Amino acid sequence: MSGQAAYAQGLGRAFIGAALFTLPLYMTMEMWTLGFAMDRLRLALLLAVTFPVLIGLSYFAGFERAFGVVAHVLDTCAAIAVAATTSVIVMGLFGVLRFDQPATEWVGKVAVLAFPGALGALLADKQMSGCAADADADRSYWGRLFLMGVGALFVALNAAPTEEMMLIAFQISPLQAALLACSSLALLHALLFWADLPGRKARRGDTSFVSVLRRYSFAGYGVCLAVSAFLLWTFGRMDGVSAAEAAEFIVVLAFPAVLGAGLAHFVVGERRG
Amino acid sequence: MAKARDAPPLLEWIAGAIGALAFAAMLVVLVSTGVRGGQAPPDIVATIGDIRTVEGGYVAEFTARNRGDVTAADVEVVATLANGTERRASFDYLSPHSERHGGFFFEDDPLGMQLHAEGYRDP
Repeated sequence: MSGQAAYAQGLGRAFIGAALFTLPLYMTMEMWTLGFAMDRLRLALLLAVTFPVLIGLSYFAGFERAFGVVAHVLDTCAAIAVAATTSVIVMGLFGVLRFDQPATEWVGKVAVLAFPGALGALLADKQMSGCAADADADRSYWGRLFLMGVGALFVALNAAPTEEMMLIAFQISPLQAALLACSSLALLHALLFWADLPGRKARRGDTSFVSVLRRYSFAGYGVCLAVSAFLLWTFGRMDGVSAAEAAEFIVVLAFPAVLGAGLAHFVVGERRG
Repeated sequence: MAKARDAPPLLEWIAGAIGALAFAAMLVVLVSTGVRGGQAPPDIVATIGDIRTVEGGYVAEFTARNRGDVTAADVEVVATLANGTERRASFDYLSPHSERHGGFFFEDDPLGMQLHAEGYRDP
């Protein structure tokens, strides 16, 4: 197959991935509202952060060896193009984007979904084309933490805009929140330690219970908390909220984020065998 | 999208350029509206549209337009007739510089109808 034809096929896969990763968000009302109601500069920051994260993903998730920086930047740009096009088509079909709406509303609704769409585009092409990396053993410590952060960001982004996230925080006591935090940490550790990651035995260094806890689980949970806080702030959920309540919001959102962080390795370029 | 090869095919440059343009355009629009954009509070103007007959009376269509710079949530529009009859309709959201449509039902011809927005909250 020629380079052009192979690339066109890859783009096709990317569209499927973008649709798959963003469909639940296209069907979430709060997401449409955020598109026009959230602070423009915070949305710009979310979009700006997306770019280096996607380049990093393209790098860490499997193309580390053969390609230069230009290929990663091009891939990231193409993924954003795919995400934006998918958003316009799907939200247009759903009547979320209409011609009587101002251009800024369109931009906002597309921008807020740029990250999950582009993430789906990048991953789908890699997963479906069967060229996922099987090089977790070579991946650096920071590379693994970065991947955890990407997984956390994706799952938390799905949950953060919903009203339920705040309702859960309102209806639990501080003690329950503390219990939830401990459970999240335990869940992450279980995902990282017992759900045996392929390549774990080949990793350099100690892979004992305590060592994984110390090096990955605590750090990973910290990443989840940071990602959750960033998203909540970006979406304006923490404005005018007391520090104690804000902490509960973060802990609640970090719970789903932990699943993304713990499973990121499976989704993002690791293959058994 | 990356495959083993020496030079990226033309299509890859095109897709990349479209993405880079889309990214830059979104960022420019967001930052410029964020920096320049005013903070005028929601200014909701309701205007009467067509009045049609329906089974059991009339429907008076109307348009609510937010002329302010920020989004208004839970916007309540009230229609008052000369004889004191009141009807209410509410919109979940009115984004800045955009409009939504609605209607009020009346048994009798809605003569001398006046519209006004009663309130809103921040989203």
